[in-house]
Parts: sequence; C-alpha cells; structure tokens
Amino acid sequence: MTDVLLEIKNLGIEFKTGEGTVQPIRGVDFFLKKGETLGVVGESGSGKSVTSLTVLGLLPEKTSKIVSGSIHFEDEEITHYSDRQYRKLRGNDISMIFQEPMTSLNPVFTIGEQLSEPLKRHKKMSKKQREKAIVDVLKQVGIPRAEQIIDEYPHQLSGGMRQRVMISLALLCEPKLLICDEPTTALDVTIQAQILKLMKQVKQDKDMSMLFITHDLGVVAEMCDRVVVMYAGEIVEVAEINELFDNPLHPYTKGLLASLPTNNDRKSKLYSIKGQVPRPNEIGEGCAFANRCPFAFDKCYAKTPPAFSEGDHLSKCWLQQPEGR
Amino acid sequence: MLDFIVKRLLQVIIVVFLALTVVFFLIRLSGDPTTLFLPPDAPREQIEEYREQLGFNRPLYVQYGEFMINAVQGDFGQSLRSGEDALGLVMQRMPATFQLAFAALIVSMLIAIPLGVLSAYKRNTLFDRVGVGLSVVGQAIPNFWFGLILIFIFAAQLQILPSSGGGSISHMILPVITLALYSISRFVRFTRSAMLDVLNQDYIRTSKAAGATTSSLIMKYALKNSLIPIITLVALDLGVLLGGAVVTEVVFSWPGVGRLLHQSLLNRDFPIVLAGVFIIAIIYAVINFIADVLYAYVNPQIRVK
Repeated sequence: MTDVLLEIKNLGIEFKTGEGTVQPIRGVDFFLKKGETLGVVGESGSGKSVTSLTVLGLLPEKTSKIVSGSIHFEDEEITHYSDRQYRKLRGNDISMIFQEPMTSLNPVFTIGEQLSEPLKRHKKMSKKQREKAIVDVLKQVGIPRAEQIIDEYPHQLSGGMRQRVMISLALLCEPKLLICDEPTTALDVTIQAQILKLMKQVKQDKDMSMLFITHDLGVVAEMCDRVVVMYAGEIVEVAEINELFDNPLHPYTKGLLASLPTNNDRKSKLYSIKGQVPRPNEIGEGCAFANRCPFAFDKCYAKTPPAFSEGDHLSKCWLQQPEGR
Repeated sequence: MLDFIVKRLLQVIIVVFLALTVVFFLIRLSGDPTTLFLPPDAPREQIEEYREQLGFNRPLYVQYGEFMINAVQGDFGQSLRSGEDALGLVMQRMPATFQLAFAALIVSMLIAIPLGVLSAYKRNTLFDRVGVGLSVVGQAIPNFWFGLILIFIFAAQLQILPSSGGGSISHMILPVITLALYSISRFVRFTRSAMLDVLNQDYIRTSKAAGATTSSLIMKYALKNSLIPIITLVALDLGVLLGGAVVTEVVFSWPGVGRLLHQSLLNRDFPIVLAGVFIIAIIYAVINFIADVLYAYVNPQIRVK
C-alpha cells in the first residue's frame, strides 16, 4: 500500500438538480502511485472534472453528495472530511491547476497577494520570506521579471503567463499531489507545448504525483504514465500508456484514438464518434456507450458490463468477456 | 488621468447647464409669481408695474439669457419674498441636509452591506428569504408614509423622540431611519446579488483550492470584487439622498435645502429654486465624479487605462 498516494474506490456522487437527483459519477475506481502521472481522459460531460474536484472537497456542499465509495490519500480516508480538515490539504498536500487561466485569478488582487495565500495558511513565514519564496517559484516556472510581476494585476499578463502564475500558486507549498484540470486547453498550441514541458520538468524536480485531466490524447501521450478513460461518469478503460495506444480494448477508446487528426493524411475526412455523451439523467440499464458503439449487441443494452482485466489493463466491455458472447 | 478628470469636469458643466435650463423653463410653466405676492383684487396696472419691476414682462429668451449670464457669475438673484441673496439662503441650509444625508448613508451601509453579504453566503435559507422579502417591502414603502408612521409611534404615542425640527441627535433619529429604509433595502439586494455573482467566479474556487478559509474567501477575496458595483450604487443613492430628501425634510420639518425648495416652489420664489437646483446638480455630478475615481481605485483594470 505504501507506494499508492491516492486511491478512489467505488466512488458515487449525486447532484441535486431542479428535476430531481442525478449521478454524474458512478462506481469510479482508480489509484495513483507516488511519482506517477495518471491521465484521466474523456469527452466533456464524462465526469473528469467532478472526480478531481471531489478529491479536494470542492464540490458545492449543498447540491452534491458522495453517496458511495471512499477516497484515500496517503492511507488516510478523506472521503468525509470537514471543510476545516480539507483546508489543511488544499494548496498544501494537494494542489490544483484549473482550465481557465483568464478567469482563475482574482482581478482585484496583485499576483503577489494571491500567491501569499497558501503560504499564509500553511507555512509560518515572515512577509519577507514569503516574498522571496514567491519570487523563487515564479522564476522556476519561467516568469521573467518576477520581482515586478508580484505587484502587477492578472489583466496585465498574457494567458500563458497567467497559467504559469497558476502553476506557481499550486507549487508554492510543494504538494505531494498536483491535480491538473485541462491546464492547457485554453492556451494556443505553442504556449501549450511550453507549459507541458514546464509541468513535466517541475514534476520531476519536485518528485510529485500528478493527476492529469484532459480530453486531448496527444497531451496524454506526452505527459502520462497510465491512463484512465472515463465515459458518462464511469471508468471504461485503464491501461499503461503504451498499452493503451497500441492495444485499446474498449470501443470508446478506439473511437477516441481514431478521432485524432494525423499529420500524414491531408484533408482526409476526420473520424468522429457519432452522437453525444448521454446526460446523467438519461443513463439507464446496460452499457452507457452502447447507443454510440459500432460493436454493440443485445447484451450491451441489457446489462452493465463489469470490469474485465488482462494484467494491468482493465476495460468495461462485454467484448472482453473471456468466454466470448 | 488628467485627461480623464478634464473630461469628467466638462460633463459636470454640461449636466449643471442642462439641469438649470430645464428647471428654468419648467418652473415658469407653474405660473406667474406676481399673482401670489399681490392681493387677488390688485388692479391690473399694479400687477403690470410689479411684473416690469421684476422683469417678468420681457420675452422668455431674454429672461433666460440674463439668468444664465448672471448664473455663470454665481448670481442667482434675490429671493422674491425676503429679498435675501438666493444662493446664500440655499448655502445656509446645506449643512443640515448634508448631516441628514450622510448619517442616512452611513447607517444604510453599515446595516445593509453585512446583511447582503450574509444573505448571499446563506443563500436560499430562511434568513436569506426573509431578508430579501423584507427588502422588497422596504423599497415599496413610500417614505412620507413611513415617516408619518414613525412620528405616530415614537413621537405621538411613546413620546420618546421629537417629531420635527433639528438641532440635536434625537431630532435626527426618525428622519435618518426614514431616509435609510429605502437605501438599506436597495443595498441589501444589490450587495447580495453582486456577492452571489462573485462567489460563482473561477477565482474564488482558485482561492479555495489554495486553502483560503471561508471568512477570508468572503470578506477578502469576494467582497473587494463586489464593492465595484456597490460603489456606483452608493454614489447614486448619496445623490438622491442629498437632493431628494425633500419629502423627508418636509415631513419632519428638517431645516434643510429640501424643505427650503419645497417652500420656495409653493411660493414661486424662482431665484431660490434655481439656486437650489444649481447646488444639487453640482453635488450630484461631483459625487458621480468621485465614484468614478473610487471605482478606478478598487478596479485595477480601469486604473491603468
């Protein structure tokens, strides 16, 4: 157990909505080893972000509830932590980088003021020490003129710079786990490459574990050691990175891989998976992917598939049933 | 910055000029003041003579031109009734009006902003619903009625507070409550919605993920953002309180500009009315100017531009 940092077992989450309750996350199981980067992949609405917010206790308290399962962080069960207990983790042992660098920084506080928050909460430092720590981290993430930037406001920085600031905010207390929720989605491609490179390097330097949420398989290939593929609130496939790209088992994963544009064939038609992720209230019996799956047969509509495993490679699809159909 | 100030000052001049022009013509629609000063059976010649003496027999545009030329020099003429300098009379009454308006504004902010913040934090709870409900009622109550009810309860029945006049703290209590009621109701609802808006922003989640406590999230990170729209509202309300406290001042016989204007209007004492409008328009425009500067202070995105 010692080399597992984060373990999620059979996690189920319920949202209260105007039309009753829905379960955006159902029976999610995965673990993250120390020093590992685990990718969580899926289309919009597959429950990636909800899962990551749950780990930090950031779901809205009044409208959401963990109805089943558990979350362990460093052998400690944190599933039903109070806000006060979570606060000790947030920004300290677990940090998070969000998708939208343009709106994720507070427009009326300087960069320095915002970066002092985790240090004030978690470290006993004098004002001078804090300022030095902040400037150091800003330099680490490749921000020029760090000494001036701490007195500037977010709108004075570009998107890439803001995301660098977000990364330094997450790194300040040297967390054990860094959750990245689509950190490069809002950035343009050249900046994206810079930021990914930076994150990879930072991860190595600080010996952190990373939970990397994205819908971009290219980014996954670049960053991750293992991948969890989510669809409509469930995990459909888990595999080591090369295994996943070489030998995808679940039709959804295959579809995602086939949808990747390649540089080689020009102007050929892009493949896409027909249909959309069902909304949580539309999911009934059977495999959630069945109505979009080119290989679906009767059983798929009747019964939800369990997880079939082949070594470390796990997939939830009736096609993988050893005794066949 | 200098550019900004010059531009805003020009706007102040335009606002004051337009306000004076509109009131100058509107007030003349109310009738001829001479009929009020002379007995109803005064002979025609006497009326004409009086009109000529006051200059009311000249064409309107001539009167308007003369008025503007004098006004630019700060001369609004003399009270038709007492012969005193009109602007001087208005200025004499200003301190009392300022006293009332600022007291009401401070009371409103002290009560309403914490209530609004709390209401947003406890949204959709009983506290929030009762708060919002009461503030709708507060906005709907006309202040002449509310003032009279307060007088009835605290002055007539309980006899613990004076019903009219000025001079002491106890005289201020009822008019301040009357004036503050409307502002409180507006501020509570506005603060609540501004806070709710901010609390849903991504950057609040960022601060939370960085380990901020609930109280620092709300009192520090969210409140400063919500203050931006609140400042505008407070400035507008201060303008209303300073210029529009007429009804409250009349109900409580408060010796301020509002009551002076009310009396002068009834007397068709044009110079005083115009001098009053002049002062109120200037105050209103200047307050808005100050609000813009404050706005820039809390909103760095404007400051730099």
